[in-house]
Amino acid sequence: MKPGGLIGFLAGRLGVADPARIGSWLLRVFVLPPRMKQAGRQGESLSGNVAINRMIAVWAGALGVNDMLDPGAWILRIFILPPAREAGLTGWLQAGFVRARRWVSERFSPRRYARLVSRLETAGIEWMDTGGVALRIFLGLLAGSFLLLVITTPLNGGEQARFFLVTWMLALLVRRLPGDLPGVILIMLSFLAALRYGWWRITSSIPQGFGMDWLFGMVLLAAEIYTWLILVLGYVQTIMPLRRQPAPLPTDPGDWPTVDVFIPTYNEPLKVVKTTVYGAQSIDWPKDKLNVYLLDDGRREAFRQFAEQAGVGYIIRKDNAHAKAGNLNHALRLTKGEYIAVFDCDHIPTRAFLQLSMGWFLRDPHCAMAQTPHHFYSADAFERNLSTLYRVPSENTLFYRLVQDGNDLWNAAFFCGSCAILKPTPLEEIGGIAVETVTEDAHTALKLHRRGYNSVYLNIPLAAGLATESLASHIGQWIRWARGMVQIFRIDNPLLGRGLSFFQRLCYCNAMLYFFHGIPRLIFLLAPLAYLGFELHIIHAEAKVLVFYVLPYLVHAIMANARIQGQYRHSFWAEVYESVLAWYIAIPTTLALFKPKLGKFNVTSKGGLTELSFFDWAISKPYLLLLGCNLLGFLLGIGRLLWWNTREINVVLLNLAWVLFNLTLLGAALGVATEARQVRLSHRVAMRLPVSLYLPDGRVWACWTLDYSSGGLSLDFPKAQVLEVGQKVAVSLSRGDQEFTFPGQIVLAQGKRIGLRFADLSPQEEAWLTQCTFARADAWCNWVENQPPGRELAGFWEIVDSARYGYGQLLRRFVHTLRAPRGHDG
Amino acid sequence: MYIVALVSTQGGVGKTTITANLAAAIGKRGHAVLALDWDPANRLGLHLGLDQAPLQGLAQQSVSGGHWNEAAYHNSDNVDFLPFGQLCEESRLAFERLLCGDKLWLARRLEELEYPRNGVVLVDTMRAPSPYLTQALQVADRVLSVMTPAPTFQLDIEAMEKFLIELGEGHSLLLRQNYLLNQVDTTRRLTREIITVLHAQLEQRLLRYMIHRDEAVPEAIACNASVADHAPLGQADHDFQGLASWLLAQADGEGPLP
Ligand SMILES: Nc1ncnc2c1ncn2[C@@H]1O[C@H](COP(=O)(O)OP(=O)(O)OP(=O)(O)O)[C@@H](O)[C@H]1O
Ligand SMILES: [Mg+2]
Repeated sequence: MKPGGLIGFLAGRLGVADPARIGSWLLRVFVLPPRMKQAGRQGESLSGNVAINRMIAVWAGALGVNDMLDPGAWILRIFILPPAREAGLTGWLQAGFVRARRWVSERFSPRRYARLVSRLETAGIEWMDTGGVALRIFLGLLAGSFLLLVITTPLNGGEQARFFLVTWMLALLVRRLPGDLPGVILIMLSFLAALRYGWWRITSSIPQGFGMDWLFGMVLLAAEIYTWLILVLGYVQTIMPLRRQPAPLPTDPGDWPTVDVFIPTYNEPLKVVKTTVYGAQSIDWPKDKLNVYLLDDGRREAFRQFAEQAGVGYIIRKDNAHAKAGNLNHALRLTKGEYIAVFDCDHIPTRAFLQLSMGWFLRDPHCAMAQTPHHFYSADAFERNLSTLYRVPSENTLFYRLVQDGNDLWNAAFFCGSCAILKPTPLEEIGGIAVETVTEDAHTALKLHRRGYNSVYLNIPLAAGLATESLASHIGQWIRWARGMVQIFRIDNPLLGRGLSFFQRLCYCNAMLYFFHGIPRLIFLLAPLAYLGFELHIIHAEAKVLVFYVLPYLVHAIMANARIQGQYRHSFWAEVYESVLAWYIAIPTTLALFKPKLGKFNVTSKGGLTELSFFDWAISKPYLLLLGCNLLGFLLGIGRLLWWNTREINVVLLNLAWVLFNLTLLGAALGVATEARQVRLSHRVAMRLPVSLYLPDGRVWACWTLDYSSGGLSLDFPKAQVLEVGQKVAVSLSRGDQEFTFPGQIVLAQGKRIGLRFADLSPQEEAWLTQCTFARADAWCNWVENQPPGRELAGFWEIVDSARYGYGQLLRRFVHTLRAPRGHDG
Repeated sequence: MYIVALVSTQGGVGKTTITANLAAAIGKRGHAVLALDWDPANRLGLHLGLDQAPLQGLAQQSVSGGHWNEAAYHNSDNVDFLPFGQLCEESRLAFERLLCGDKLWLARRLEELEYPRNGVVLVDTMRAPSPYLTQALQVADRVLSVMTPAPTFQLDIEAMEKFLIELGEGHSLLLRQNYLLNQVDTTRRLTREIITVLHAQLEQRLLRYMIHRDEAVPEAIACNASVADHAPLGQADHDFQGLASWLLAQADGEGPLP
């Protein structure tokens, strides 16, 4: 998107009548809410009255306010009772409101109010128009100095608390209203609270003198500055996700471009790669314009034979220089498609992949890259070990569903190595896929953006793969990303150099800075010990005042984030994810910062099997160490509370609370380190598909699948006791209008629940099976969970629950190890 | 009254079986449905619960000048049924001559029935070419050409198309006609391939609701029960239910022709 287009877009969203005039922007941004547009009819805004009434109606609907003209109903819904879901309202509570409501509604009529607003709006526009430059400057200065005033005014504890009460009420008021505006308000409130806290923190809480207090104080301050930065950059990145729709292709498939599908592989099992190849082959695209290539860096004979038999290209090279990037570059030189689609060998594309994602290239000749989400159909280490699957959004959800979509608004969505389309001609200009770092994907995108090319992010899962199966491999993957991103930060810093817009720089910068979270997180995990252990006052302030300043900052940040990303990440989970990684990425990022050339590529293993549940002692060492420190701190704290620092009870309590929070995070980390048993080699995907089951006696049954995998199905059979274990059957699945039948055997018959394992399928049958299951166009479309935004406290209880589990496991393993020191289980 | 004719150019494709089971599926839902045996083979009754082929039927009533209603049955699935009846060879020829002379004869008889406005009439016909088929095509609001995925499918379609164009004096009939596949066994590769070709060739005219070959169908006939009673939730039952829903939706959307 060009800047003009972006401004136009923003203007449209905000209802700015004339984007060329600053006055109308100021009016919209600071004074009056945007006008609602009628769906489908672009550009023509409704009259103020109608627009406001409609907005009120939308809000009323969302809050469950039945009578829009009744102010009491609004107050009831906003402050006292949550919207409709919990509508069961006790009589006595309502009775009290009836009279008050009547009283209020006699005096206020929203209609009169709406008329007033619309009159104000017209007057405002006239005023702005006649005011000229001077007025705008005046307004700008007014807003600026107001902000400065709000941030810098020193308040004592009580005053600050009351100030917080007001902003908090405001946040409570808007947080459940629909639309983008309440989100923006929450962000603004959080921004204000953060700035206020920051100002206070820097001007009045730095320890005096240059002793140990000061030293540790500055370390903590540095860590905090880092978090402010990430918070604010995060807001910029996600304030308005673009939610781009697929662009239509020309009606004549003859005009569609040729596409080469690259499937790079190195050491993954053939079984995993097969499904991906079959999926790629069945992408709906003219057959003469689609070529699939298996890029085998393992140079395995079985793979060559498979490629030949499946009818896909097979490309190998002499060495493995530059790993995946080198592999892709080598293939790029040998093929000549107009576009290339890249899939990691365990990401199975669906049939619709190209038809939905190619359109933007044809619409925008400067588009060089289109990325789609990485969707995982198996549970990742967190979901499996903490059993949070389907309850808590997985770790990567935030990035793929929100952050990349937010980047897209600023034309800064970047390549993630798989499930993406690239255009070879721009790639040639930048010398192919970047090989300087271990995260070639992001670096390639950065280089393309520097050249003035555009990128597209399509927030629709069009391919799916296996998540990393253990905590160890999850960490391995993150170490690689962290190292690579820091390498880019060093050798091709997005803040420097030419060709990027301001916001592109910010987005890239945030993506890279994010990986520095290791050290700050360790600092937060250890900071309370400075006081509890050594009685250092690293924050020079009264505990009460500190609480009144830090609380608004935290509360507003949590509320704003719950609003904008609650659906994709529950509150407090980011802290868990960071605590798990902190130790491990702290060293690689620091090393990479000083010696960017260091380090080699490591592949994360997938599709494995954890046969026995076990506690990963090796990987939990840092957690245990941090746990030990915090436990010690906790005990010392109790001691200080009772015997040593009784004159500073508030400070001790504050630090104890901090330690308890740290202990919760570490407990959850220990829970993740308890590797749960994983029984199945092929992962199951829950989905209801209609099937016909052919029995040997000629009877045929119509039933539904409960889930499928590449090895079998489980079925919801209409009748119990018809099928027996061991019976040979045939099952037919459909792909679009076509049905395909697969031989199989009943392996489980529990009432109406039937398990079926496929017999040895021929290669052709395997391909069909992939097309009927993993590669279905609609395979992942229901996956876009329409979860309600996560509630702040619910997130907290989730991590407390995980921590409880973690400590339980730790204790069990500990006892177990004491009893049987040579047991293989521990 | 929404009139559906089940027709075919081949014998034994399953018109009678489908008529009976479709009628049962619709009747069980409490919807008025009339199964009309419009084939001198006089077999439909055996599929609808009668132990023997009825002697009396609409043919006798027509010859003797009586009202059709007097030959009607009603079964426990809530299906109204009009058998053809047994005719001796001579009377049959006379009857067919009558039909040949008056293209709209069946149309008028059905009109006289005064069947409920929202009722569905399923007409099981004799395979083409026959005067019965010609009559049925004149009145049908929807024509279902039943076929099996046999290797001769191209010939069947050509023959069917020829009839429809001839009798409809152009393409008018094609607009209210669909092909319905019966006895589909997708475990067979040839069947799957034929279906793929048919989809490409007939596009929307090939009904998505095909009926699978299911042993439950002949079993049900042997037990003198409808498939819905004999093998509920089986594939054939599932298919008939789907077809019935589709047909009722069509009847709802189009309504009776003027
Ligand atoms: N879906 C099915 N599955 C299994 N058998 C079937 C199916 N449909 C029909 N049949 C069997 O096919 C045979 C012929 O069916 P039916 O008599 O209904 O055909 P028809 O088209 O009415 O024949 P005709 O042209 O002689 O009137 C019957 O024995 C019936 O049981
Ligand atoms: Mg028949």
